[in-house]
Amino acid sequence: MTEFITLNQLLNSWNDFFFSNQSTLSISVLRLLTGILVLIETWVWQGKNKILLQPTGWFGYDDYKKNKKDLRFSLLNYLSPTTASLNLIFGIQFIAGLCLALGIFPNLAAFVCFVTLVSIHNRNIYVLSSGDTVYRFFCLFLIFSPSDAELSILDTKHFFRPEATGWPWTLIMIQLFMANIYAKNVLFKLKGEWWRDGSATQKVLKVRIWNRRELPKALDRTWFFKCTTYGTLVIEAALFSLIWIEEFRLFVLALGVLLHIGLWIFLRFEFFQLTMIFGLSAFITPKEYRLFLEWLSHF
Amino acid sequence: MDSLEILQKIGASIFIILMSILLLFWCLPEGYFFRQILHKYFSKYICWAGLDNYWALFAPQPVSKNFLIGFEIEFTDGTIQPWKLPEYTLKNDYQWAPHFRFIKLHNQLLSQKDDVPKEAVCNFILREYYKTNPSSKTPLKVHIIRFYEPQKPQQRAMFPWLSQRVFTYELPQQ
Repeated sequence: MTEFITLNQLLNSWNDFFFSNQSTLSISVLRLLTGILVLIETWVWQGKNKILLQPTGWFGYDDYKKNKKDLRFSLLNYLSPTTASLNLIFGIQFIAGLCLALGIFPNLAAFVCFVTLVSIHNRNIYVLSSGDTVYRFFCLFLIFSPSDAELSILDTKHFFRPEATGWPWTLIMIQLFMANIYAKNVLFKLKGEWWRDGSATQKVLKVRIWNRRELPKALDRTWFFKCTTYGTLVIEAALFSLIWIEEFRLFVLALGVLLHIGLWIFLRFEFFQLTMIFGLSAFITPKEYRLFLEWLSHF
Repeated sequence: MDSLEILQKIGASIFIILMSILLLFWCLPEGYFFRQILHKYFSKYICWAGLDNYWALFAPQPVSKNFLIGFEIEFTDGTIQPWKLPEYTLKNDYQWAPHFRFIKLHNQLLSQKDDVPKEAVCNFILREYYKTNPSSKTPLKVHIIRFYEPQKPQQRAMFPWLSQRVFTYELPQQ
């Protein structure tokens, strides 16, 4: 006779999946890496990119006020429209990013990072990339990460605490978030004729502004374009499907890292590749992290 | 299980469900019912909070053409002055920009989409013009020029780049 799931069983499964205590090492590593991402981007904004946010820059305050200010939250909406206000937000973001990386009041640090990132990104949405969205969402999820975490500079004697456990739901949300990114990428790509016929990477690799260098003649071949086009689709499909199966997980993760390194080598959106590689760390188990650190300690 | 823990679990569960709905349905091709519901009734709040997310990198159709960008200021006396933004340079006869954010803006400025960034850059050019030419000719319009490669190789041999104005910003009459 067919058995149906009861509401009680469903709730128990939900409770076991999202709320049964597990080691917090994986989420702590992701917290540290997210803090590093915040620090990197805060630093990069101080260079040539700052003109894209300044009140008299490429998206000046008058244009922002007329078109976007009422539609998007930003702390800059409540401060005077000067470069000093912008520097204040970056200063707060830097300190919060440092606290996030070092594990100093990480939940509060994640909240502050999220608010400052939204403030900066909403100030000029026309220059954002997917990488900005990725680590902004990481900060959002990390607000709710378990407070009993590892890798905190406040407790260096117990930097690794195997007894530190917490609810894994924030880590699971980050894993689902990452899988969703790859699923959507495959979905949109399959709607494009060039992705289906294997010529998509040929098109992209000929657009010089997006490429680090001209493609070597040895790679300017149909076989290379078909391999990279279909290879991208296969790896991205595996990254939202096979990654959940234990026997395939590490292999798929390795392929994912190679995919992003390959994109980094050829194309000029390195920050997105870095955020995605860091995000894939959410799929590494605490046991694997400990094995890796034990292996490192031999050196 | 104490009541605080129960409340925390309920709160977290609500967050999980709402966030899952957002992530699943916000970024979908047009025509999906739940996407339309989210965009029609909730986009104001989602965009305000910085929760909008888009995952169609080089999809459905990736970028496929090389373009150069140029700017011109047209004055009330009919003369035209080309204007260069130093961040957009040439490298081996193709467009180069110092960072991917300028590349993103390059796409925005040359696309058929939103006029807001185009007007903003034109206003920036005018501010820079007034800084360096305080008592000179009066600007009337700012044009954004797209340089594109001709389709046929024979044409490309004669004229590597053709041009067209893709956007004109007219200064408000004073």
